[in-house]
Amino acid sequence: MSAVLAIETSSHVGAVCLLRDGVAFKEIVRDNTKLSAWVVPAIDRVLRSAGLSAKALDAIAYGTGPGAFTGVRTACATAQAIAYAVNKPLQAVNSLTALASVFSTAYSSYPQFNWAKEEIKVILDARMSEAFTAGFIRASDKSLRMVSDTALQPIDQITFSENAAVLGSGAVIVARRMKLPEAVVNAITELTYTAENVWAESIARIAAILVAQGDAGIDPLTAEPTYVRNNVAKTEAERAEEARRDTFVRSEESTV
Amino acid sequence: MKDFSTTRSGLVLGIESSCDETGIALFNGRIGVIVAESLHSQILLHAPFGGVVPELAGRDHIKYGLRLIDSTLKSAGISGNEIEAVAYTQGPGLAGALLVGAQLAAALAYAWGKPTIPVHHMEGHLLSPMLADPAPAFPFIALLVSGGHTQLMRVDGVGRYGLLGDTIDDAAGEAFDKSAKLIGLPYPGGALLSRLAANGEETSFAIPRPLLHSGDLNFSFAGLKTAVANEVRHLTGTALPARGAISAPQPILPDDHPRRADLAASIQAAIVDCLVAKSVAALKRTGLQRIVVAGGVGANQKLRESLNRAAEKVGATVFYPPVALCTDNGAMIAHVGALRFAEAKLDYSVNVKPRWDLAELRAPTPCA
Repeated sequence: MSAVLAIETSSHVGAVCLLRDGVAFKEIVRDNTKLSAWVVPAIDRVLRSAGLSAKALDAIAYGTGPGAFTGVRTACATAQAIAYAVNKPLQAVNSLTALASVFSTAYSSYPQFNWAKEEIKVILDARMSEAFTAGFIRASDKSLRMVSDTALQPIDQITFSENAAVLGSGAVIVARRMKLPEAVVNAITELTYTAENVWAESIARIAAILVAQGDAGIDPLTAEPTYVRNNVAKTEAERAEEARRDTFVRSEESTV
Repeated sequence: MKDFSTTRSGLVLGIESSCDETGIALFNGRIGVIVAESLHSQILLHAPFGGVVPELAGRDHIKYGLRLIDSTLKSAGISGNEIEAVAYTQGPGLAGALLVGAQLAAALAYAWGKPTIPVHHMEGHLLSPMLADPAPAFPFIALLVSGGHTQLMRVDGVGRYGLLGDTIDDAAGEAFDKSAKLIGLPYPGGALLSRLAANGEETSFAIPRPLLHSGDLNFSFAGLKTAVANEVRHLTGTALPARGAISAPQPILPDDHPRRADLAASIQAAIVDCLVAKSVAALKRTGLQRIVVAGGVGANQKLRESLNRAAEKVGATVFYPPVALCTDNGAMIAHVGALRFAEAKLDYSVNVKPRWDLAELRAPTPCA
């Protein structure tokens, strides 16, 4: 028997999934739910529905993000604490990789896409006019390999063709901005929704494969989320330098 | 007075993460003893920013939280299964910081099959003098002084608190830190200012004592900060900003200025005078004879000396928490958890309260 619990709370979607011998017991919430209030009770409900206790788990996995700062910490703290408490391996799975894995199955509707050469793109809305992005190549055995590492980009500078294999909340924004045909926008929206519905399940499946391969995972004590956006505040020295530059520019302007 | 009889092994794990300290402790409520504790301070992390950066605080809490929990349990030789409950700071504080400790607490307690006890951060401070020897008996007056609070409370028992006075603007600790910045001390400079003040003459500068004769028990420290800024302008020969100027940089006193220690001593004396005068007024008004001091500013030596002297004159006794418990810490949270053990619940839904009035608390009652 194998039982892997996965937790994903990096965005507006909260998802937990217990994968027991290939069968998924899961719960998902959207929109304005406070994920910190929801997540542990949701884990309790899916474990109960499978008749398991936390002690019976073989591994715990979490979506590392990137995403909302508080959200990525919610999943990480929950997963590392459970893994520590029941002394079971912890697996950290990139949330964008998990989302991309929907392309393992949903590929037939992209007849013009060259899977061997072109990158699958996951684009998540990161607010502040930016997006978290990552690129993947789908191998002939349907497995995905990340070829463009998780990055933070100005969302205005992202483009893709209407035949591209893309998904994510940011991809929908880009498609609308590019004025791609409504059918394309709808297809991306729908695929994103589908991928979000199996987000935690994908994390659990990726983790289950790692566990089966004998991967020991990471130490719960040193587990951390993936932030990507790291410039969160300016030091006093940086602010002073900006103020100095600003004064300089203003005095230059006044002499013109 | 300490009734922990409802607990069995009595072991409560306490998790504090409301601001810039990650504090973990294991408290034995059956015998009223701190079994083990660990603390990680973020002061150095935030220093270059001149204040606490909430997002960085959250990141640091998750970096150290579980490690500190692990080292606390290991140093006590206790496994999670032996713990009776997990107490955590539910508020008030920085939302993103509170969430980390609360989430760790909820998930650990869930996996261990133990109940949780959400704790009010200021109640932790308020009751921490009970961990000192001798401990105060109820009822008493509490002076809560920290970077975020300046309050006088009447305390009749656990959860029976009546607000007597509060600051109408800045907190006393904030006044210390902001004044320290003006006289050129690095953030957070409150403690450094006190050290500098030891070499100064406290009557050198006429720093105002706002609301000293207001007749109520409230405090105000914003005007004091303005007075310090003006003294610094005067000492550095800087003119006031021109009328209509949008802003002008506030001059900072150079660290070799000959009057620096005198100014520090004058600032400290003004803040301490306000705290002591209102504390004595609270004792007189209520007729109580015990006062406890809690919160970071409670570690200030000048405050302790002045308050001890003033209290003695009115026949009152002052109680302080052990110095190690003046800063934020996990022990005070675990301690309140033990006192409120009757409220422990198998509730793992995290709802932090960044704003939470101490007066909303009630005496502990067993949950239905």
